[in-house]
Amino acid sequence: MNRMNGQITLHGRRLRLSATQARRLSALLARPGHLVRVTQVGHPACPESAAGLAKAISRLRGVLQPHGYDIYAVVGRGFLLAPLEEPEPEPEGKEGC
Amino acid sequence: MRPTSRARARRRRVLESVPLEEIGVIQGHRIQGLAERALFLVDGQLAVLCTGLEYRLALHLLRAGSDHPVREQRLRAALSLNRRSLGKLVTTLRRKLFVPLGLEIVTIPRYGYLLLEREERETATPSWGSVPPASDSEG
Repeated sequence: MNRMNGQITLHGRRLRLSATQARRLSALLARPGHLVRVTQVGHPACPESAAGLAKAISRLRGVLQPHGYDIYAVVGRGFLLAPLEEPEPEPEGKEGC
Repeated sequence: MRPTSRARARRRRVLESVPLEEIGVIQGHRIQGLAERALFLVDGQLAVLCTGLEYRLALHLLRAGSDHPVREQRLRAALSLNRRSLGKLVTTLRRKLFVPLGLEIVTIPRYGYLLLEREERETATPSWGSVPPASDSEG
């Protein structure tokens, strides 16, 4: 993912994002794979409701998922941006505890 | 009852003779580990006994550090555990090690686990249970 001239591109293709979405994604891209606080993802001058932010993040996920990325929620704390991981089959019968 | 200076000196000598590994400073607490006994020593005073698996799991999380999540798949592969066993292990470790230290192991659905300092939760973060499915429309 690249940020060039205010546009965000993924694998060389420009992502179609609104200004708000681009700002949210930029905040997540600043620390990929790390926790980004809610206050950093939301608008500093206009705090959102949990439902409003959830909906906005959900839309952003819809843009990113086809490209192999996802936004994960850390309940009560924030979000992180990371590549999707292929589901893996459960190991058979191995119990370690 | 406070230990006498002689008792403190004796304890210090005993600890110096044990090959403790420095794990790091977390929440202002110095954490050392003794892998062969699966034991963590907090501030050189409080010993936390773990099972071998608990010790290894704690090491993974502590070394990843705060704010850096660890993939569940990576933990399962490293510890040779299935998802259910890993979940149980995390639950045990939460109580045993991190609650006294003021640290939380936070579960990130579909991703893994994250070690965080205990704090008041911010109000606007949803749980994924409440998040509507991804949509294409712009908000």
